[in-house]
Amino acid sequence: MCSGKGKQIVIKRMKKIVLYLFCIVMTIFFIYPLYFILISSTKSNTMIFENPFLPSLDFHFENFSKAWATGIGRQFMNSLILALGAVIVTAVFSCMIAFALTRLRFKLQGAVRVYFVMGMMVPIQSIIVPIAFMTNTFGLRDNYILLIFLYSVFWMPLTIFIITGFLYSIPVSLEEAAVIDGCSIYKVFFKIILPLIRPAIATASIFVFMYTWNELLTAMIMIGKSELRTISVGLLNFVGAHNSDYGALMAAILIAILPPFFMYLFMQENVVKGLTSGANK
Amino acid sequence: MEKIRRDRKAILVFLLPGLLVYTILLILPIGGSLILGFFKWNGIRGAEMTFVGIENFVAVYQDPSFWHSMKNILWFLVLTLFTQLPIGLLLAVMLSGQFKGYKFFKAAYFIPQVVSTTVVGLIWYFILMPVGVLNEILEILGLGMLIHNWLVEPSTAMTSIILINTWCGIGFHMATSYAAIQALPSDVIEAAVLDGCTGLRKVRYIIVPMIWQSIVSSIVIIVTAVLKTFDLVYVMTSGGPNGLTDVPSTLLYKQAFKYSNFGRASAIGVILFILSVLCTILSLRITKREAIEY
Repeated sequence: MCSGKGKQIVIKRMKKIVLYLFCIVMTIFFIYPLYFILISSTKSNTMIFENPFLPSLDFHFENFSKAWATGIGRQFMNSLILALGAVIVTAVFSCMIAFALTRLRFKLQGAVRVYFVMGMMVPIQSIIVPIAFMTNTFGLRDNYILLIFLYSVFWMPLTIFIITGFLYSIPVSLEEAAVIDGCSIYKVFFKIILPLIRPAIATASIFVFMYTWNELLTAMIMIGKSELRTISVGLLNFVGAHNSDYGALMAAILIAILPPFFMYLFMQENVVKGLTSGANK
Repeated sequence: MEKIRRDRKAILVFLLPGLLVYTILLILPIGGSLILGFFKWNGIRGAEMTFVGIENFVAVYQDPSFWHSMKNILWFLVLTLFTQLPIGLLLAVMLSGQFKGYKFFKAAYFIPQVVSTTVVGLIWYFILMPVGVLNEILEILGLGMLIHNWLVEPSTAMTSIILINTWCGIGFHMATSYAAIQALPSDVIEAAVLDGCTGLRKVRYIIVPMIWQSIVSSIVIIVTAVLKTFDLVYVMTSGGPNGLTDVPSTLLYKQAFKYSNFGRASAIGVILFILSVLCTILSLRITKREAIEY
């Protein structure tokens, strides 16, 4: 009996070791590419391929200043403007529409709801050609305002979906009390609803920011002037222009992933929630 | 309260601005895409736009590179469905045991989702270069005969891109499956385990049916996302060499911005849209099951 139990413990312990080993291998699998960028960004070009596993103590910080100066800095700011702009515009429109769809009453309510959900099925590639046509005709290329609205419109269906979902779980008693006290519908919206749906807005804003920051196709097509480029496009061009300056390229990539990565580091739960909120369709 | 809810002016104020912008920038272009598909236009302002009927659509139908891109995207779909979701699910099941340190691993596995596909493409491009890390590791391990020019050779190019996309997406499905598993009532699962259903059988007969909604959702997301793939392919190979790794999106991009064939690109866009809708409906139909009550 004693030996039987001892064997069980050994098996259990071995299972645990295997489990952790597997987890660690998986971790290396998922993190290595980023680790590679991190250590390569401070290496000289030759060192990058010589030893891809260990950092070199010969720090070449000029990779970063080089990258920043040759446009990445400017593009970082551009992406920031677009991403923040998209977050704000999306939030504004989505809140208003979500409010209308859940708290107001009008005839075609169901139809309007479906109308917005439809948008989730539209791939951006299918509309980019007519949009390019529109912008060419009206000379609206390089127009950040248009681009911000374009991004917003694209994220609106999902954001509206998230906010309406959230609103359904908020009891109307608060608003009814306010109305009895003489509140107008606008006051109800601003003073009661908006503060209450802040978590939903935050969740949606995270993915709007991230997806806009990371977006490539639209930014490539809608922006022509090199000083107005976003960071995704900029990185691509960097590869083309400075083909063999790998160190600077690694530094550029590191700079580009900094905002999303830091957001993830500090708001991990919310970022995961935000990016996977599209799953609840 | 009811009366205020029906206030016409308020309804318009809240609904109209967003509705307008949404219609002009998202809905109208869908129609515009269809219309443009019937024309021949080179994209330059003021240039001639000639009506060519269904010539663009026919040309796309007859274009071998289009069918090649469709073959690529089909392979993309199949491989992704059979790797990304199962691995993500398995990781989620494993982590739901909540052993010490699971939070760290969960956070690590999700990281690829946070980084943009452009960056993912660039990083892996370096790893898969002939002088890159992967080949170096193979050399070190004595597996030198497995060395390939991963992104260039016909036998490995598309699959490499697909597997990198899988690498990127596993974290997403792990997170959603994990959340779904967490929401399950533990007493039901415990009862099953007590009855002798453990390990893989537990996954197959207990967990999967109970989180089926989440799995269906993941399938739909994979299907729609794969059809739209552009960033990763474009960044890693631009659909090349010579259209080897083209997918419909990169084909569309090339037609419009390399060959200045906006009409043809539009036609591809329309086809993509229809495909997207069809695939979504199809995958919802195929995976329909009775919801399990518990």
